[in-house]
Amino acid sequence: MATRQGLDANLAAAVARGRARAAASGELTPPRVGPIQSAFSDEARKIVADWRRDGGYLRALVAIAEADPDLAVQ
Amino acid sequence: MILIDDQLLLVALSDTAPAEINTAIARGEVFTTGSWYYRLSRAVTAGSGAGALSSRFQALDEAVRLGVLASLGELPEEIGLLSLRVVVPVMQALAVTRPLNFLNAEALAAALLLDAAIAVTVDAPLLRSGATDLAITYTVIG
Repeated sequence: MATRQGLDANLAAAVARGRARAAASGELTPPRVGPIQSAFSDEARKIVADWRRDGGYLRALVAIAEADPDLAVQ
Repeated sequence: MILIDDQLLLVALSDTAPAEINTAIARGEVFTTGSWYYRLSRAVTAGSGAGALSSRFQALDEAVRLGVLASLGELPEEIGLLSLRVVVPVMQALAVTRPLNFLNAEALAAALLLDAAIAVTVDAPLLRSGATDLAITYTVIG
């Protein structure tokens, strides 16, 4: 994995330690590799697409962020 | 490697993701963060009123509805997720010019750890600014 140039030395060291820890615990790759097997029917897929298109998702995010600014789009 | 936001995770789970995301998933190259995963779960299940997704699902056959809701609530193993044990030490060491909330700090730290590009659906200026500071590729996918 490439080492990013120009990082603050303290941050670069933290990244190196984190990568080593993640590699040791097998976190640098997903638990399973391959396509997702979707449980969605055509109707369910359309409902989600409509929900996103009409702004329902973004309205939900606004409500979530009002209660928890750490989850806000900024 | 690509780090996707909650809306891209939603379209991946609902089998409507752009081809580039699906290809990357099949190769084991897509991760998200705990904050984005949590925010998607909140948006799907905690909404109320006419706009809530769960209320729209009421029209579905029960077996389909339960399967869909389960798939939205449980992260598939094909999507990678770094633990906070790994991410927090990098979050606390981030050196950026503008203050970050938890969601943005987690995304930047995960991208550094994975050497990943960040892909979002809605431009987030603070996240973009932090990505620029850290030379992380940042892409908005409509």
